[in-house]
Amino acid sequence: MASLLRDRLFLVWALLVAVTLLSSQIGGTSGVAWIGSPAAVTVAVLSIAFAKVWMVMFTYMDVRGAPLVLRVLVTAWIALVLCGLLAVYFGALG
Amino acid sequence: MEPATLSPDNTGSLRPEPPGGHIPGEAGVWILLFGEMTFFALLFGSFLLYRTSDIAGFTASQAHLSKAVGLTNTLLLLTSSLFVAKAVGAASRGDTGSAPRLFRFGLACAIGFIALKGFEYYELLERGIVVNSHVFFSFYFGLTVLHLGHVVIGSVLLGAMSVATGKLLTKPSHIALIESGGCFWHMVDLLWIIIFALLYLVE
Repeated sequence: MASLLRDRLFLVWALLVAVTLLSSQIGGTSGVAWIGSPAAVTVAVLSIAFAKVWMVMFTYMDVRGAPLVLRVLVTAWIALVLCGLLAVYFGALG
Repeated sequence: MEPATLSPDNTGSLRPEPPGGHIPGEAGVWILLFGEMTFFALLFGSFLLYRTSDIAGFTASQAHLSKAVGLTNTLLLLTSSLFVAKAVGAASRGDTGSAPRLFRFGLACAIGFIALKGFEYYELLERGIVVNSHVFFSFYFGLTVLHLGHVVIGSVLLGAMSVATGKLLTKPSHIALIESGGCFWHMVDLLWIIIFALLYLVE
């Protein structure tokens, strides 16, 4: 057990599972009553999803040990796609 | 000429660590990964764009999906990613005992994902829900079948890596190939993370 608590990959997995369960609770019609508005649900579940993507890329893909240019590219791609999707959701293109 | 032989460096890795950090896998693989991820991102954007013109229809269609099935599949892929990350770590340390076993655990989760996806398709088709039932389901089937194709390719890679890591770990280029395969699998995982959020959770 103690060795598991020192295992970075395992701890990341536990965190990913925890936020997945949280976003599953927040998401869908049941979450709207809990969190307030559909827009708030969408912002929350998409933000959590892209935070998970960042964690997977930085730890499992080992981008954290990569040259700065790849770390910047990965983080910029994630931020750009998240902002782009939210902009579409809020009707920026409509 | 002396054949390249490997001994672990002070981090225990068989692959030399350049001072500025090393690119996981082959550099070229990252072009493929960014290309694939951007292609999917455009599909995600199209999904949300279509959604803005028929929010009620999309919400009603989404209600036909089982959040529990999507959640279980997400957990299966997250767990497979953990096994694969550990397998790649074991391979880079030259651990030819653990790496194949960990890749097989990852593959078992992938097969579970494929089976559950098949069950979900069967359930929907049983209820008469097909690709042209609603534009939501055109995206649902389009995105998930495309993703499932990647899961199948990734599963073949995991199987191949479980065999290869038991035998061929003699050159840094072998480790780079294993890292590349691992990165492909993690991409399959992260694409599903976004698909799960978009199709099952967005309101």
